[in-house]
Amino acid sequence: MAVETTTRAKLRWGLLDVLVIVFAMVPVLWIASLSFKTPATLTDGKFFPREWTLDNYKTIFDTDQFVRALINSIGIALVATLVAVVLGAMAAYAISRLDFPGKGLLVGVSLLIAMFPQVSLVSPLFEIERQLKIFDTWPGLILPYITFALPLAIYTLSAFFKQIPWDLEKAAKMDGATQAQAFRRVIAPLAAPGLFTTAILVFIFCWNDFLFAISLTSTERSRTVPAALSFFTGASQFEDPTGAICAAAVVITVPIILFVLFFQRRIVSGLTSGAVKG
Amino acid sequence: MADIVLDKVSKSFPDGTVAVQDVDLEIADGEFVILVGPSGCGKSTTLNMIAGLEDITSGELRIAGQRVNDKAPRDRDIAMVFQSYALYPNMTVRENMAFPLRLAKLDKETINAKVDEAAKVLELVPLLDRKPANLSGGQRQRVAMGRAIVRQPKAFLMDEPLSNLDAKLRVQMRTVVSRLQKQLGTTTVYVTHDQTEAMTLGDRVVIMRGGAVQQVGPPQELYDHPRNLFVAGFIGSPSMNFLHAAVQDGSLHTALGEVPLGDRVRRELEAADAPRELILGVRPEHFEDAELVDEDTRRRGLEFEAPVEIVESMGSDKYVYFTVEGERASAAELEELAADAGAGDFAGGGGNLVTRLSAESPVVEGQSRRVWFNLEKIHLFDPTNGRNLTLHEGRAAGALAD
Amino acid sequence: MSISATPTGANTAVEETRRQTTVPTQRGGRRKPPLSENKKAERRLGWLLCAPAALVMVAVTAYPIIYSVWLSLQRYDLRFPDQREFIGLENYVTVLTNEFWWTAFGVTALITVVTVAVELVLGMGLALIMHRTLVGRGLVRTSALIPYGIVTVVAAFSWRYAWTPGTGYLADLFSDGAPLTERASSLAIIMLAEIWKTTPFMALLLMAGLALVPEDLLKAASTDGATAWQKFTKVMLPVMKPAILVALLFRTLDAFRVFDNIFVLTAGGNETSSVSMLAYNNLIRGLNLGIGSTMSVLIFITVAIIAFVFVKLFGTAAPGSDDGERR
Repeated sequence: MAVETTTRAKLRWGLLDVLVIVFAMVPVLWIASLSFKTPATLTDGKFFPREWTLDNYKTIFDTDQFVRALINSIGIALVATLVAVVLGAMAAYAISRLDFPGKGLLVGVSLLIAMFPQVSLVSPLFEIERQLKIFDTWPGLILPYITFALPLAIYTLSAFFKQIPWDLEKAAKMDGATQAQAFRRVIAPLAAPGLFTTAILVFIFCWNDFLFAISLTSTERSRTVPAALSFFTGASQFEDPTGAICAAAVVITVPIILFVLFFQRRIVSGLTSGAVKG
Repeated sequence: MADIVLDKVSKSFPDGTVAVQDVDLEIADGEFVILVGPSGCGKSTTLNMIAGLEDITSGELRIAGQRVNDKAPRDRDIAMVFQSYALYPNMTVRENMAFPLRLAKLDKETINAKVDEAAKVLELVPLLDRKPANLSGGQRQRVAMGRAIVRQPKAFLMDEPLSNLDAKLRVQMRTVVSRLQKQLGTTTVYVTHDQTEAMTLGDRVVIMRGGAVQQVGPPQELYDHPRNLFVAGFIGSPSMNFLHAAVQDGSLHTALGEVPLGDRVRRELEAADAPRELILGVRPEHFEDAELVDEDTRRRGLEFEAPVEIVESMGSDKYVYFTVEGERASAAELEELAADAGAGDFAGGGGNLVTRLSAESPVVEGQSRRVWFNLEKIHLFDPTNGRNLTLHEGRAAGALAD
Repeated sequence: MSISATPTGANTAVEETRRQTTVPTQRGGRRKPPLSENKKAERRLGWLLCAPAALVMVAVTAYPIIYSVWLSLQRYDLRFPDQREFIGLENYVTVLTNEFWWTAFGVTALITVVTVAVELVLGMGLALIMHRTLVGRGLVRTSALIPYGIVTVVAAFSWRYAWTPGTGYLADLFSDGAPLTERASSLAIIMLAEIWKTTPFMALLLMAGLALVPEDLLKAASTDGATAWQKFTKVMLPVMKPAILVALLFRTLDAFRVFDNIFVLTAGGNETSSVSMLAYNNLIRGLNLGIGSTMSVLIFITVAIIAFVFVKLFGTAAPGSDDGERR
């Protein structure tokens, strides 16, 4: 009896699981499928390709437009992630460990920024960046990315830092460590997983951005892949760009899939701990 | 190795609350001193000030004759064992124990030798390569101790080091701590809220309440000669019985009968501002089944009869709970003690009297029994300030002393 | 980030003698204890560590938003830079009497309400599955994270091609063929794309709330005779309330910013523009900084009102509201 119910319960859950997986995977599989279709079968309306080809990938890697955009995407996201995580870690350490006036204000400001409508910044930033001559450059995108990634970084990291037992720092001091040694030898190794998780979340955020990418760039110089994708349409008038767009889309999706596959547990814990314990 | 001197040490917070007030304490080289008291009494704050983890607001702290108020913890050369053990989870047992030595920049061979020696003393040798996560509570506790002893500091500070262990292990570790301290002869300050630990471990016990020291002395002295109601109630398990007593015509009216008074106590009570209401304190072991008391002894005490409520046989003796009528003794100290015991709002039946009688006593639950108690061992307290009125030059002399 | 609070090495000795000489004067003032050196050092370190993050955040948001207000009070069209002049609130009158603005506002509001409502229900279901499933929990969580992580533009292209006549596997669902050329079906597809993308995020936030429901509480409810539905409504929902409110707040404000999906799916055609889309079109395509900035300011005010209402309604449930006190 008991065995029967658990089997049935398992079946029921299994069915729901399959539903979720299908729901999540279909759009991804579809765009991957399109990227492998030959031009002849592209418009057959079938979900899976009948003829497989890698031509679309060859095409995009042969065009400067895509390669340049990919380099921009990777470079800008990495720099922004690095800076946001370092600045965020400093602030989060102070918020979770130290007592000082103005702490509540900082938390409040970062919360406000997390909710800020980015489009409201597009027009002033467009104008300011033109005056500062950083329009259509890497720093022109990195700056807003850092700004909007900082609240995420601060929240996630303070949640992680708060889990580090406070006694350890005291113990390190009693064992003869200076504040700096206590941080480097005891706290930093414990904080590393949190830093790593935060870095992934921030990277995904920067990698994902579209609005700033199309508003604050005007040439291939600093256009990232999401922005470049939307301009592929007019790239070559004689060819249908669908296959190329899909191939490019798959290329920038691969890192995300890898992150999700390898670090599922960390990403989930990062997103949830920051959200609730905030 | 060093002595530790607290000279009018106080701690107050920016919001004005005073956590520790004018603590004077001289801890001799090699001494084992226990700080004990209910939670919030300032014992941990005092320990943290000695450690250097909290600032001293005023007063002076000297270790080995040197003022250390403004020294960082690492410059004080003292080791600390934490209640949570505070083992570094990313390091193995060996690395944990070697950490203070590596910070002191000792060479590898010396470090290994010292860690091995400490591990042998604490029977940690087979665990040296494990991570703290893979250790039991008792093992973690031993690693924390090992980390403290390995660098041979001037003093050990221990902050409720055994309170996270289960009861049986706690008793076992108590002897380990005690033996280790004697072996090493290192000055030790030990904080606990458990009066049993305080009684069994220390050379001297410091009882604190509300940030102030109540009494300092060897455990037995605190037990026999408590300076005030708080100390009397805190030390001892089961704790002292407190009964309401009214002064009338040179004797005391209590629920246990008329208690005659000796000259000394009477003189004290004749003073103009002397209280008319007192609190009578009798420890459970100073009661005895009246049948089992010989004539000689009987004369030094008083008898009464009361109904037996509960009998708990301990084998060696019996705890017998009597119901006695009469007003309950009340004082701020008693309420605080009850609250600390977690029984603040749970009186558990009015005038219960706890006695410890000989195992031979044939008491039966539900029947009345004649009981004798020793008048030379009773204490009388002033309920307004808690002072022990039977104390003469630091010694308690009972009610009959001349 | 390894900035030390206490001076190290050689400094300590100097510090020591300096402090010792000043101590006697401090001794008398027991009434109001002065901030100790350690406390002051802690404050300084706190400010020092927070300063860079705070500076960047304020510089990139506060200054531009003020600048944006200034721009919105001007006639400023980059195609006609000579005509730049201060015109007061005229841009606001222009925008607020313009039917495109109100259509876009209506579209945005509709998308926000519908998607957040649907996501709350689906997200709750997904959260329950991820939290309680007996089989393949890791697999479910991993696949649920894919929509969260994927680039919105990529997902939008996938949906666009799915509904493109001839190419898409879904196009045949409509008899007349081109759903992305009709207003109603376009909006439906935009909402579908939004829901697909953000339901997992909602579910993760709700799952964090689910994790707070003690297992014993559910067992107790079972022994007290509660049905599954009663357990959900009477035990789980009350405990989860803060998590639900946080999720709603974040998602509402996020949904109000909808842009990427509309850009790729319809480019705002057939009256499917959101306010963000409209502002972008005026700014970058129209190069009308005055009107674009006016819209930016209006969007900012709307978002501020939504956030204010949420915080007022739910007070302490707002994330981080008690953060100041916690250590």
